[in-house]
Amino acid sequence: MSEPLSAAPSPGSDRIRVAIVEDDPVLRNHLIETVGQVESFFIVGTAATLEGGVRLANANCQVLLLDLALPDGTGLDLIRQTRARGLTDLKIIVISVFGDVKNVVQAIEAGADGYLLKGGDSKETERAIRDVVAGGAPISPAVASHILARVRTNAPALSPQCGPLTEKETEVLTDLARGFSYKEVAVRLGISHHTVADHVKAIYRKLSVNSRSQAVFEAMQSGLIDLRE
Amino acid sequence: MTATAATSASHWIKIAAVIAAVMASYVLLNWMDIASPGIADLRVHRLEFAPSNQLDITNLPASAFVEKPAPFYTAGKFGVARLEFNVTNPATANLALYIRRVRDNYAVYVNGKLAAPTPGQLSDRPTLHGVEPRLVKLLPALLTSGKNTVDIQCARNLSPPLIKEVYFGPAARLEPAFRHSEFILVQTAEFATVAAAMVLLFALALSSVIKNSTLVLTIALTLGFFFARELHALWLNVAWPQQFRDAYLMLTACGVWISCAAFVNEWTGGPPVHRRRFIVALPAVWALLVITYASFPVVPANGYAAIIESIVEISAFLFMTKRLVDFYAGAPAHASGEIFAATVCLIMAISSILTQTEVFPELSGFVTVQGEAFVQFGALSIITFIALGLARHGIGVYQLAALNNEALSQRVSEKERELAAHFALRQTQAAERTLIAERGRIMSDVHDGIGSQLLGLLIQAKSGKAKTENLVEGLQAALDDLYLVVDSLDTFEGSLETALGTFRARIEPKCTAAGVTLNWNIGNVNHARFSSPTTVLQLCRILHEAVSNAIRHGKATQLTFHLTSGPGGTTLSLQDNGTGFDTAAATGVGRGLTSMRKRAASIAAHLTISSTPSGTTINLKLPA
Repeated sequence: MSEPLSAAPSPGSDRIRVAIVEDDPVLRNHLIETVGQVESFFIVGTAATLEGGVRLANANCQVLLLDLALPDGTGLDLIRQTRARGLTDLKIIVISVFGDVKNVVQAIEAGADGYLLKGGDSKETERAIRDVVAGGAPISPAVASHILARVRTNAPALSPQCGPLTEKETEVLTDLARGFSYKEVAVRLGISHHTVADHVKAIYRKLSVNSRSQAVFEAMQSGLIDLRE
Repeated sequence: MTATAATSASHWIKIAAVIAAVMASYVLLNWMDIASPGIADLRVHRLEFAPSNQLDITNLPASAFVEKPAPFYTAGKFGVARLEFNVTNPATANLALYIRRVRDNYAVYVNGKLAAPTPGQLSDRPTLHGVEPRLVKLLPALLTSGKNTVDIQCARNLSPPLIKEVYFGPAARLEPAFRHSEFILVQTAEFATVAAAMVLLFALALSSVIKNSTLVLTIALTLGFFFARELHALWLNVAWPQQFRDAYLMLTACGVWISCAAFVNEWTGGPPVHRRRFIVALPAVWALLVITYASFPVVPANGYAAIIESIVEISAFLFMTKRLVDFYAGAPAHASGEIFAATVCLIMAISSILTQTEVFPELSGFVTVQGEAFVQFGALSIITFIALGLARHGIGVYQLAALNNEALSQRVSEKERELAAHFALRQTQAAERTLIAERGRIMSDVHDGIGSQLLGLLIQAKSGKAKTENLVEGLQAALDDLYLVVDSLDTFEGSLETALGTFRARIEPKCTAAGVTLNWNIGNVNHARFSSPTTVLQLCRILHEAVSNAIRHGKATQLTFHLTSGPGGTTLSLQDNGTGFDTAAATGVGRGLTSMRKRAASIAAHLTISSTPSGTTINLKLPA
């Protein structure tokens, strides 16, 4: 699992504004409870639909906790639309039941900043939100190995304008896929754990740029973006 | 019919154009030979001539000389042509005598002194090519102020002495014309000899791949005879009787003619019946020639042999003409480039006959000189055209071979594609079968495991007797197992190391919550067999049980994972620093251990558990 990348607490008066989009009332309430427990977090709103999620994304929030399977559509669409409109400051954390590769990788490609397991305790939730706000990028061994497999089979996993994975990035990914933590990877490769985090962020970027440019194109096609404005 | 006539007409026009072009090129060449050096004004049109039977001509009286036009022949053993001129300053005169054609043995005397060739060379033996151009520089030491006399002496051998076109004037003007003629008459002949040898080799090399082997044979024979004939140039200073050399020249010349006629017959697709005629004709002519020469000196052999050669030449020429006419008249559609070439060769032959038989010896200059150029260039042209034809045939053969190769390789690649498609299909089918089998195993696993677990919890919850604590524990266990199932499916394409990595991600939060530190030592083992969903799932379930035991029952604070590979196989070990437990117990931990053993057996792994109060070690030896 990812290590907390930043232990710096948010300023007391400056609470992190969090929005929650989850259709299951029990899980939504659980999330409200776990996020609400943390003093430095402030819940700006919750929604149970994609439509409500779009409204929330436009509202003044910093972090959006987003369920992918919503009654009126998939959360992936919301991520793509948000990224296509250039709202890069908004951190989107996908909440997933299993943290399975398919959903997580799709979300990262769409432009998500991280993912969170449903039913985790408040500590884990807090850590995940703080990580992402601090600019961290969590990556599970399964996701790491998935990316490696795609790189090996030359699948168009990575954007050509970003170039292929560097040797160091591949080494980092390989160790992460074997279950080593950022700190352990840092020791094994003789680099600082900040550098490991930087490598992972670069991998994230390479993974999502392709799909982002594709998202911009699709958004323009569907009229969401008008470049003539 | 009209279409054929039109085609036929166009072919005749083409032939006429080719002939005209060739004729024009020779006329141009000869015009250049005479006109471009600008020596026409230096020509001596009339010479004083005297026949002589003596080698020594110094005592010939002036009255013996009569004026004759050139070229001229003589009945005597020697012929002497005299030229008289005045020189004012011999030191600066720098004069020369250019004899355009002179037969073999000649000598030039200036004021009675030998000027050319080098003293001692004049003999009864003919030189190489018979008729050659000569340039004689009149050295100042030989000239006197005032009247000078130049005598050109030529000797009769087996042919009459011959002098054609004599030029007299400044050496600087005459020398280029001499070089030009020398090139046409001597050097091209040498080049043609070499070319013939090369084309001969080419023809022999192609004989195995060209279908019409008779055609190649006739080409080879023609060129072979030509080459052999030209080899007489090497016949220097050999003390054999003169008739040997003459016979050799005649035999090879007739060989050239007959094999050339046979070649034209094959080339134009002539009747095969002629082949037998040629096979008979060649030895017959040879036999006749040999008899003629053998009877020497009873009969003047050279004269009869020349007649035989002329008959062969004319017959061959007539035959080739007929073949070409028949060919164009009969099958113009099949007329090809080589046939035009053959036609041109025939024109060469005509000129050759005109020259060699000297049909018009008294015609001044033009015909015979053109004829000589034709003879030399003709040989070269014939060789060139044959080479072109052979090259065309050869390219055709190789193109056919290339096409065949291409067709073959296309068939091979088609078959390869078919095989690859079959193989891919088989592989897909096999993969699908594996996938279906794996899916079935996991489904039944979920049914029997998580399904029955949830059902049990449901029944307990419904009864109202179950403690919330037990229900939470049961549900958590079911969810944990479901995680393992999901992960095992996710890591289907991955490796054992990755499966363990994913497993760590699942158990880490639990360990952290329980205050247990994980020491992770996972090496690179490349254990391909442990990457299928079921084996990964069973392995992770064993490990999950072990971790749970360590946390729950062993009160451990340190958990160490080791994955190593050695000659004995891959070993996965899990060590804790807990309090240990009774490995033989039938309930609690013991039941968990039994299920671990069962699972290990199902994936053919060897499980050993040793527990002491200071910790527990679990070893899992994976089959290779």
